[in-house]
This record gives sequence, structure tokens and C-alpha cells, in this order.
Amino acid sequence: MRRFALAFAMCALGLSLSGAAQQNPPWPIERMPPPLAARDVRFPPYDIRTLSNGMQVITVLHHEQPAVTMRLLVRAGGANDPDGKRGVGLLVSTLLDQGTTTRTSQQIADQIDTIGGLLSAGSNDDFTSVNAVVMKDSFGQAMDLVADVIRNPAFAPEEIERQKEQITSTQQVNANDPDYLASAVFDRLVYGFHPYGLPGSGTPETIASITRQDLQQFHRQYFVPNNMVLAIVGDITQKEAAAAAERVFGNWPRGETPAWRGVAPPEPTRRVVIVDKPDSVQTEIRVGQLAIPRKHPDFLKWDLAIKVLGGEGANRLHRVLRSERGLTYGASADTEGRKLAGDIVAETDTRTDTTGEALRLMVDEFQRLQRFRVPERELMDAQAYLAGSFPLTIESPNDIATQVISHVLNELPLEEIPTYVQRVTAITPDDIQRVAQAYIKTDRLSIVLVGNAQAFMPQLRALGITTAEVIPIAQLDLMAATLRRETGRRVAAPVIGNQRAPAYLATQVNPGAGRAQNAPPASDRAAMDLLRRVVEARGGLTLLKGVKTVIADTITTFQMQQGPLPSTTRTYIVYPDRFRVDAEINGAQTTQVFNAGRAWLKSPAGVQDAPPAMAADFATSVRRDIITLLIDAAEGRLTVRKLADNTTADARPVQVLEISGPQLDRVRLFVDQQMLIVGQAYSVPGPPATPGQQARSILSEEVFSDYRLVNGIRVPFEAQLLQNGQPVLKRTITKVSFNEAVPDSLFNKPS
Amino acid sequence: MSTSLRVAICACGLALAAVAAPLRAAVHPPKLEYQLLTLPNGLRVILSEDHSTPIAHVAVWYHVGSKNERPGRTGFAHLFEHMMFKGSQNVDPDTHTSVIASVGGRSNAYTTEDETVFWQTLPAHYLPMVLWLEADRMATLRIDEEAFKREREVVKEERRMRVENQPYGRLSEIIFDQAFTTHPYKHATIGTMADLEAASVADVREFHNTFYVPSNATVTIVGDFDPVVTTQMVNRYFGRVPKAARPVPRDIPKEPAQTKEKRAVVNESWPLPAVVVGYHVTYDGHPDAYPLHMTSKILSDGNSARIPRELVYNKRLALTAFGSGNITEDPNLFYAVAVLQPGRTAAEAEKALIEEFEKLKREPVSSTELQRAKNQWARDYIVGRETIQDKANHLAHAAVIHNDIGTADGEYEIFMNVTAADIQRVAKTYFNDTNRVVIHIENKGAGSR
Repeated sequence: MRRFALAFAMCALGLSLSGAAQQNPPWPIERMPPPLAARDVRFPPYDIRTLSNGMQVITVLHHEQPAVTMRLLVRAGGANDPDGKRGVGLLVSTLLDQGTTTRTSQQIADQIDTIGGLLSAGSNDDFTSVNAVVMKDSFGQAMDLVADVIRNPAFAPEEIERQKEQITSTQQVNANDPDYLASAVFDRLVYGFHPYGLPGSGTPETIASITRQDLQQFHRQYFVPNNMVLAIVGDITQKEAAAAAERVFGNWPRGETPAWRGVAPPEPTRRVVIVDKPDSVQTEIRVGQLAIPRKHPDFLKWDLAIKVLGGEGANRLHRVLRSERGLTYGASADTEGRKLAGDIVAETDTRTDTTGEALRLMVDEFQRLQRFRVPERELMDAQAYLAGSFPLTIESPNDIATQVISHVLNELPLEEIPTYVQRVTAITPDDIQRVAQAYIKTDRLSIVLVGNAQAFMPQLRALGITTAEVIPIAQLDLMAATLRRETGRRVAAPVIGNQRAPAYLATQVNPGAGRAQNAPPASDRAAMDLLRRVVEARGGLTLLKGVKTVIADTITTFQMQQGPLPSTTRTYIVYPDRFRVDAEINGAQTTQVFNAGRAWLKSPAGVQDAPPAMAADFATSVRRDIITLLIDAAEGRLTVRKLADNTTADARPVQVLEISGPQLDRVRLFVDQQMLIVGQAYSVPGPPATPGQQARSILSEEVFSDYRLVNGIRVPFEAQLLQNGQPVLKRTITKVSFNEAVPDSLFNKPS
Repeated sequence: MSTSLRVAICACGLALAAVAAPLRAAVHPPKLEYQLLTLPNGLRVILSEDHSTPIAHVAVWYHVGSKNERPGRTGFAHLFEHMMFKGSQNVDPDTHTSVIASVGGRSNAYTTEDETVFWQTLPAHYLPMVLWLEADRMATLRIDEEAFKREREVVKEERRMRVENQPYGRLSEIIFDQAFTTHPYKHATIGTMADLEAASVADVREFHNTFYVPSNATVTIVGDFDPVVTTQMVNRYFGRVPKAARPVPRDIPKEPAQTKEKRAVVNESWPLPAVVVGYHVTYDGHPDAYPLHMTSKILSDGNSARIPRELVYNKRLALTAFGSGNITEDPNLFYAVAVLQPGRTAAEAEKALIEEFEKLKREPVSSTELQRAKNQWARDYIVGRETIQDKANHLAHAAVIHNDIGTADGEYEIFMNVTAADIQRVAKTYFNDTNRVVIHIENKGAGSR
């Protein structure tokens, strides 16, 4: 549709130009024109208030388009999943709009679609959200709907099944997606078994284990108004928004949410993991490490430093990898500043035969940023981008709401929003250098490559990378400490009642093993390396240190002369120095209690103090506890030596660590190729053969097998105790849990 | 000034539509305000003021896409798009983006079957800079052999990343390759590796001279600017770009009508198999296109739409399923896809998808369903015009693809007047077995995870 009046005017204007154009004069050589006068930019007005039940309500008014957006955020997500039930937060969010106590899934879909609205629900590790967009005349209906799905989800069994099916099918697609896998493995390396390290959608096993009660409990615990932020944005008045929020949420009582209890992410360690996907035409690359959470005071400076490395306005990675060498379509780096922790991740994808080159260039750029001061000019470009783009970040009412919500959820002062530009421009090259040196650990980068491993391995070797772990894509298990899927149960060599040689007796003749040292030598490097790998395979130091309590149920069979004697036991451990074992043997209840040096026994005959020798034995067994042992050794409180390699009775090769300390006689740990502890050997004082004679020590061996993952920690579900080569008992764990509350009273003297 | 007679008529139509659509009575989407200019060299310029935030969006649409590529040069329009960032007389290679970024702006470009679009959003006072940059590369693109070869590698990586190295990345490539015989919609915009490899610097020069001329370009400026000052700048920077020496060729081969159902089985190592059912349909702007768009809503928009409800929710046949019209400048395809749940068969999914098309022919959609589709369409219309970039897209699409900027607002009325009979009529016109394409995409690595 042309407008004649205008077109005519343009012709008039263009007349002189068209005359010139016919001669096609040379294109002028000239500089870029200067900008016009800048307009003042202020952060637009918004309102934030708190309902009497603690729900925060943000409103941003905007009247150009007749639409209203509602965004409700709950301060809970995958990071609040119960232990071993990864995926609860996700399932809760996907089920919110799949039926409430008064509307079926189909009714909800019909209602929102009929008014031409959009309704969606989702979650990440930190938050769960429900979003709705409707035309202004449907605002009231939409608020009812949002409130209903947030307050009254039905968690109907058939809908749970549907969503579980959707999630597991999606997992199947993701398991073949190099981009997804690279990021998921990277998160595991950086965050370990912190929830940020685990796949948000869990695994088929964790999803299968989730019950309706788990979902209801999650909803009950976290979905309370004082744990939520609601934003109402668009073509509406302040009064209408406030009234609607009060109407649908005002009568909802406050609730207490459980405190977050979890493990901290591990310290950065250098680890290179390759997921082998032989049919790949490209390699997905991730390089990075743990950094700082969003609300860290250095975050803005850190974010700017990483913009120089790989963000808008500067992006060294893009320049080096794409513009200068054509190695990739895109290369970037991001500060993932999340609520509980944060990381830095650089990513790219490149063809198989340039994998090594691209990786080298990326690592080089980390080093360059950490070692060399950023040139003033380059920093100014990055600053100019962040400062200049400020008006772009407040264009739509939803952009404005996003900034306010982000500040509220990350517990940042709202006064920071309008001063953003000043704060960015005040950052100096010195600031950048300081944060780069403080947070970038170039010798401890986590590196993930997903692609055709065989084809690019020689390139990595040429870079000096010789310690990469290569995991075939079909064996990748994001929940395993080793990232590898278990292949069947391990079976311990000796069998109860069998008279064959004990598993590890051979190691006794190992020279040095039985020889006392005058002064405890420092742990040697090979030993510490091996120990580190053992700790990692067990679940990692952070996770092990996070274990405060253990409750374990077992079936324990004592090997008596008359034959096997079964018992059931429940063991409570509260680290560092308390335990209790309740056992039922032949219908009789017995209890052993150890509490920081004091020990008691209870049997049907009564309660007594444990004899001193037994109490001492209890104390030693506490120090010998594998978790305690590994932590103390890893943190240098014990001496670790590596003994000569050996083999088990069934000819499996094992490496041997000897651990000792001031109050701990030598304990040997036998480690298999998967870095799992398959045996522990130590000496205990035996009973005096005849009164007055010196006690002879007994060689005790514990043989561990059937390792299973419990909350990210590998636990041997089978153990056997042998003394001087004779089987004494066998125990099988039937149930074990970590960090459940254990009453103090259990460790008092039994009554 | 900016309100044309045509738009005024539309507004009346709106009021009428509101009577027919009581659910939407309270809501009237605002009209887009704009001016359209044509420079003597043939360049069209659309100006639309929006002073709510001090930013501006500039989009340059070249009316050339992958359907303009000649055989053996698939992917070239997109490869050329990349070359537009490799410098011009007054602009060093790779600095276009960094200059925009250094003032806080964002910029990028994309190529479709029908058009190539270069866009930037930035603080409004840098408008002179953008217009100058865009004019410089329109008139004097630098064409350097080394830069070209390097950029070709980048594009090959883009193909690997988007198409070859991710599950379902080849889906649309497979669909259009199977559906078309002759029209260049047969090939994907990204092109093939062999054709990318065959492209030369001479092709770049030729393409620039042929398609990157003012008469084939539309510059859309939306945002916080003074129209008088901006018009002067447009004339100053774009007015001096020479007029094309010859007309832009529009000789695109036509797709012959399909006379019997086409079936294909393709093997891909995707985690879950997929089924596609497609029908050849008409072009964007044809009267039938409006009921077809409504049909997309009825089949696929929202959880209550027919395909997701039937295939995903009720029958639990598919992890995901959707269907909509890919309605473009030349006649294209309406197709539906189902990604199967493990254990379900392609035959089941095919039957279920075809049944949805047959149902549209058999019985008219209910008034509730039609109203729902219209409400959804109105929502897209309204929330799809929130940003200045959204607005520029609607204006430019109307001007370039419909060659009638009035449709940017005028279509609202047409959509609101679509009837159940219209939908049934177009279903009967297009959703026929002789016009159908059925593709089963099987998993050659079945069982592998």
C-alpha cells in the first residue's frame, strides 16, 4: 500500500540525488557518523509489596498492548529434591497444570486455550514457575487458574504416569544429544553431587522411584505464599492487580519451609572426560570450573571479566575461534551465577579434526585472562556494551519485571537496579585482573568433550592430555561417581563356610607391610593420588564430609561352630564418635552403644558398662570407619603409603594403600580397578591364650562388594569379616540412609 | 498522515468482528503507525515511531532466500549472508557486529527460503551509525578470497551443529526433500556440504550484484526517532547506493501438481522414530491461507488442540506431536509430525495423524473450537507486537512477502472472519491422499542409547 502524498514528497527530495546516482560517483571514503544527542534513560517505575501472608507481589504497568502477563515463582526447585529422588521438583512443576482438586488436566487446557491464553509451568534447580499470558479481559479468570494450579494440584496417579513417561522418553532423546550431554557432564564435574551437578530430570531409576507422596510432600513443604513472588505485568491498573492478588492468594496461610541441607560443591579439580559418540561429525566442548554465586559481591566484576573472555561486546573466544580461524559457528563463555553456587563455562563445537586445536585455544584464553591485564580499550568495549544495552533491557514490561524478579529471588538489593550503568563503568582493569586471578584456576579446569573419541584422541595427546577418562556414550551414567554405568554386581571372592584361603592374606608377606616405622613418614605422592581417586570413586570428599549420620539395617549372619546364626540389626552412626547397634538374635534383643569413649551393652540380662577392652575396640572401630578414614587421610591427618600392587584370591589385581596415624594402627585398603575398596585389613588384639600371657594379634579382614549408589555415595551392600582367614560374619545391608535425624537420646546409657 | 484509507477500513472491520467474537469484545489490538517511502533507486523504507524506550530497531530485508539459489549452489543465500559481515569500503571485516555491540546494541542476520534479514537494535541516538553501516555494505561489500574460505568453514560448522550433530536436526531437510521435486523449497536453507564447498568468490560477487540492490531491499526503522531527521539520514546514506543495472530475476521453477500419494521410509540414528504426514498447500496471501492458519491453531496450538490431545494425551502414541502450515511466498507444505513413544508403531501414528486431517474434511469445527482458534490467533497478534523488533517484522513481512504493507494490520479482520465452512472447504481442497506425503523415519540404530 503506497501513500502517494509521501511518495511524491520523497521524489521531490530525491530528485537531485537521482541525478547524481545516474553517474554512479565513487563511493565516498568516510568515517562513521557521530551519534545524535542521547536521551536520558531511567529504570521505569514498578511496584513491589508484600501480602499479609508473606507473598511478594511485583507490578509493572504498561498499556500499549491489551495483554497481561502473570509470573509466579516459588523459591524451590530441583535443589530441594529429597535425597535419591532426583526429579521430584521437575515432576511437581510439570504436574501443576495437569489437574487440580477441582479441574482436570483437560479442563485446564480447554479453559486457557479458549480464552486464547498461554499457561505454562516449569522449574530449574532453584525455582519453580507458572507463567500465564492473557488478554486483559481474561485477567480475572487467569488469576483464578494460576492460583488453582499453584495451590491445589491434584497429582492424579494417571497424570503422574503420563508425565513420568514424557520425562523418561525425553531422557532417551537427551542421552543422544551431544549438546545436552556435554553440559550435563560438565555440571557433574563442576558441582559433583551438589544438586546443580545432577541432571534435573533425574534418571529412569530416580523417576521410577518417585511416589505421589513425594510430590505431595514437596508441594506441602515449599509451596507456601511466603516462599513465592508474583509478578503482574501489562495493561492493568495497580488497584486491579492488588485486588486480584489478594482475592486469589490472600486467604492462603503462611508456612514454614525446611532449611536447605545439602553438600557444598567440591573444590575445582582438573578432570578431562570424553563421552565417546563415534558417529559424531563435531565435538561439543565445555571448559570451565566452579566460580561464585549470583549474590557474591564480586559478581558484577567477574561477569564483566567473563564478557571479555566470551560475551557480547568483546568475546575473545569468538574472535580467535571463529573470526580468525573458522573453527566453529559459535564460541562463548558465561558466568552461571546461581543461587547457591556459580560456575564459569566456555563452550564451542568444532569438527572432529580440529578438536585439539579448539580446546587448546580455549584453555589458552583462560590463561591469558588470568595472567595478563586486560587492555583498557578492550575493557571499555565490554563496559560500553553492558552500559549501552541498558535501555534494551527495559524495553518491554516483561523485561522490567524480569530484572526486578531476578533481584528479589537472588536476594540482591533493589536499589542496585538503577545504578547498574554507573557500577559497570566504574570497573577498572585492576578489578578485572584481581577477580580473574582470584577465581580462575587454569590448572584445575574441568573439560568435557563429546564426539568421536578415537578420531581426536591423538590430537589431545599432542596437547599433553594423557589422563582423559573415555566413556562410551552407552555407558554414561550421570548419577555414578565414575560417570559409568555399573555392569552387574560384584561378587566377593570368599564364600561363607568355604575353607579356601582368605582373600588378602597374600599381602601379609609384602615387605614393609608389617614393619613398624620409627617416625610416621609423610604421605607419598603416588599414595595421595591413588587416595584421591578412591575418594572420588566413593563419591568425592565433599559428599563424604557431608555425611553426618547413617542409619543402616542389615541382615548379619554369624558363622558359629554350630552353623550360621542370622540376626537383624539396625545401626545408627553420628559422626564423628557415636554409634549404636540394636540387634535381634534368636528373638533376643541386644544393644551396643558407644558415645565419645563411653560404651554400654544391653541384653535381656540387663545393662552394663562395656569392658575396657571392648570399649577400646569400639573406639578403634570408629577411627577405622571407612568414611572417617578417607576424610582424615585426604585431609592429611593420617599418613598414607602405597604398598606394592597385589592380587585377590580370585586373581583380580588390586592396589594397596596403608593408612596409619597417632591413634590408629596400620590399616590396609585394597582398591580394585574401578577405584573401589574391595577389602580392608588390620590387626586387632586377640584374647590372651592363657592367663598372664601376652595377647596375640588377630588379622582381621573385611571384604566389600555389591557397591550401590546411595545419595551419590558408593556403599558396599555386602561385607564379610574374616579373622585369621576364617569367615566370622557376613552382613547384607537391606536399607541405608544418610543424614536423617537421629535422636541424641539413643546414645545415652540404655535403660 | 500515517493512517491510510485501508487501515481505517480495517478498524471498522474490527468493530464488526468484535460483535461476532464476544469473548474478545473488550480487547482491540492497536494499529501499527507507519510511513512508507520509496527512494529513486528503488529502495523501500518503512518508518514507525515508538517513543516508549529510547531505542531503535533497523532491519534490512533483501528479497532473496534459498529459493533463489540455482542448482549446485544450495546454501548460498545463507553463506552470502555471512559474507555481509566481512567488511565494506569504510568498514573493516568483522567490525559491523562489534561496533554495534560497543554502543550496547545487538545485531544479527538470518536467511529463510524467501528472504535474508539483517537487523540491529540499539540506543536510538546511534541510528545514523546503523544506517551508514548498512548502506556501506549494500553498496561496497568487500569480497576477499581468504575471508570467504574461512567463512565457508564457519557455515559448514553451522550445518554440522544445527543439522547433522543433533537428534532430529535433519527433520525438516528430510521432509522438504521428500515433498518437493522441482521447486527449490526442496532443499534446506543451510544447503549441502558439497554445494557449500563448490561455491566460489565469483558467486559471491554475482549474488551481491544481482540481489543486494536497493530495488530488492526494504529498510524498516522502528523506535524512538524523529521522522524528519531520519528521512534525511536515509536519503543521505541509502540514496547514494547506485540503482541496479538490471531487474532482479524472479524465475523460480514451479512445483508440478502432485498426482498420487508419496511415501518414503528414511533411516536416521535418532533416539525415537518419527512419522510425518504432509499435504501441499497454497502460498502466503492466498485467500485459502487464512483458514489454513486457523487450521494450524485448531490442530496444534495448546494442550487442548486436536493433535497433542489425541496423540500425546489420549492415545499416548507420541512424545511430542504437532502440525501446522508452513505457508510461504510460494506454495508450500502443511505437515504434521509425531515423535513416537517407545513401543508405539509408525503405522499407528500415521493413522492417527491422517485421521485428524480427515476429520477436518468430514465435519465442520465447532463454534467453540473456532472461537478458541481466533482468540489464540488474536493473542499471537497482540503479544507478537510487544517489541520494536516484532513490529518491524510484521511491517517488513507485509511489505516484502505480500508486497502490500497494509496487510500488517489488515489481516486481523480477515482472520476474525474465517468461518467453520472456510476451514472445511480448504481441508477438502488440500488434505487429499493424492496430495499427501507420508514419511516414516526409522531408527537404524534401534535399541542403542
